Amino acid sequence: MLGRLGISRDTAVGWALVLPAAAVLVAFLAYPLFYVVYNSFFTLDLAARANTFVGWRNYTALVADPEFAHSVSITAAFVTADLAIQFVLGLALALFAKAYLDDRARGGFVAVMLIPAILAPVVVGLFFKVIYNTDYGVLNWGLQYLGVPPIPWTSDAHWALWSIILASSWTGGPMMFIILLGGLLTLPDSVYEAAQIDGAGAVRQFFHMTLPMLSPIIFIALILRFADVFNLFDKIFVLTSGGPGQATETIPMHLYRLAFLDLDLSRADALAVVMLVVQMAVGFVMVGAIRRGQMAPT
Amino acid sequence: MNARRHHRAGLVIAGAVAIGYLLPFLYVAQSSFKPSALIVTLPPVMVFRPTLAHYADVLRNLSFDKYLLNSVIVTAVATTAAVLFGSAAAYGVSRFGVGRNLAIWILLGRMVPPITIVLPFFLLYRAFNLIDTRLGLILAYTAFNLPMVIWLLIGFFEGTPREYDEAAKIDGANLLQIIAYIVWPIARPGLAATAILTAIYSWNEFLFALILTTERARTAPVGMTQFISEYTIAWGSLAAGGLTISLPILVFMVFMRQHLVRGLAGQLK
Repeated sequence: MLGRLGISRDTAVGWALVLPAAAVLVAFLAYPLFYVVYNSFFTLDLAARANTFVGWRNYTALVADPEFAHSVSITAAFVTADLAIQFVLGLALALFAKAYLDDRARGGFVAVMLIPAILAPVVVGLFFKVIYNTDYGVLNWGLQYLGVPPIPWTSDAHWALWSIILASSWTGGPMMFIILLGGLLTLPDSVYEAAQIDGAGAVRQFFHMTLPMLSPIIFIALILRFADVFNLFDKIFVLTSGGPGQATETIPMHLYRLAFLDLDLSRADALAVVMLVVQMAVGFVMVGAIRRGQMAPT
Repeated sequence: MNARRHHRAGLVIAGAVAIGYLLPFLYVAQSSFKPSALIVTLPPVMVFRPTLAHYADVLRNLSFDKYLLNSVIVTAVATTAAVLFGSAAAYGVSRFGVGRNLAIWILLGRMVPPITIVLPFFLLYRAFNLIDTRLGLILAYTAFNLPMVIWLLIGFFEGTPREYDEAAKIDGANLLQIIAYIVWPIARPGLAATAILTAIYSWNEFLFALILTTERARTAPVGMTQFISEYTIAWGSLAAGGLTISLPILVFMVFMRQHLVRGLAGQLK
């Protein structure tokens, strides 16, 4: 019967294997996504269970609110600083591990350095909160020896974002490290040998050879890390909850407040769609890079 | 001689960097064994008689044991389900070529920001009475991990030779037997890496558990927030609870290092 429909038996078996996973993905990923996009064009009245179509009005209301612009600028500052620190840290670790460690030592070093990346983010956030404590925290205690007066890390508007950046890059740096190390180890030794014969020093080798050859990997690493930083929720939730005031209210924290504290579901849906569009745009760039063969994902 | 000294210097630096880097975690971890009176003293007391009192508190008095049990059940079932569904789908794609051109787009499913769909989940779960149930969390975690599982497993299955499948087929094995007795054993390192990664993500998950559970199905990461309020920190309990949650992950890291690193590095080959 299948043959008459032009479907070979193998193809039918293949689809039968794919179907259960596809069903789960449609029901629990695609449908909620559709639901949030759909809802963003309606106002929801939960009490009356009535929905009214309002076109783009939720979006215009969202964008007109200065809180939206505020959360965008906080997110931009946070993502930029966090990725920059992760990158410098990851690259320094990768250069060190390539130059100074043999294969066995490198494996052990990678494993230990990855521990922060696999701990529960909420545990990392809470442990840093203990360390940041103004009066009893070990960080301020250490800083006093450098003549620094106690800093209210998580409760001061100037420092709160930095305390999140530090806690976030502590786990993100090692992730950046393994991606960049993987790239560094594939660079051909012969090029470096040639450069050495030509008398190029370590600094020149780094800027004229290592960085340019590594740039496709750096690009991919930044895109992969972007997703985690852009979506960061748990650490901010336990460290500052977006405060003090709205000093650390990034887009995810703003979305959380709209949806679950202000119960402004219409605006929350619109913001969710905006966030999705940004993340998917970055995702398309990544898929494009993979297709061009800059990256061979496992 | 010179190379050897170079190597030894590298090891010393690597050790120092690793210990220094992990210091924030090690510092709080050691305080979980301190008597309450010594926890907040500065400079930190380094010599003390270790106590398990905080662990006893956390496990007995604060319903944290229930949260841990929820975490274990949800993680175990969601990981099993994701790997079962995922390996069937990955096998379909890699051996039967179904949806091969679509497969790459599954990466986008992995990038969906959790915060953007937790609200529809909340509304839908309320309608279907799935709020505060372990089943609800299991379904959400299975779906959320599936894109990563499928993607990683397609890669691992492509790396196993087809000839074995075909030989088994000629010997009269059916599809399920081929998957269970031929493909899984050969792809075992890849399956292990995938399963461990899925388990860690489910075990650590916070946002969905925060929004979709209230008490009965609450998991350990959300349970951690009870140890801290705006003005007080239950320092000992927080440290002990945090270390308890981290312990299985650290055990994974010690005993299954190769698998774990392979999984994490799997984003880039």
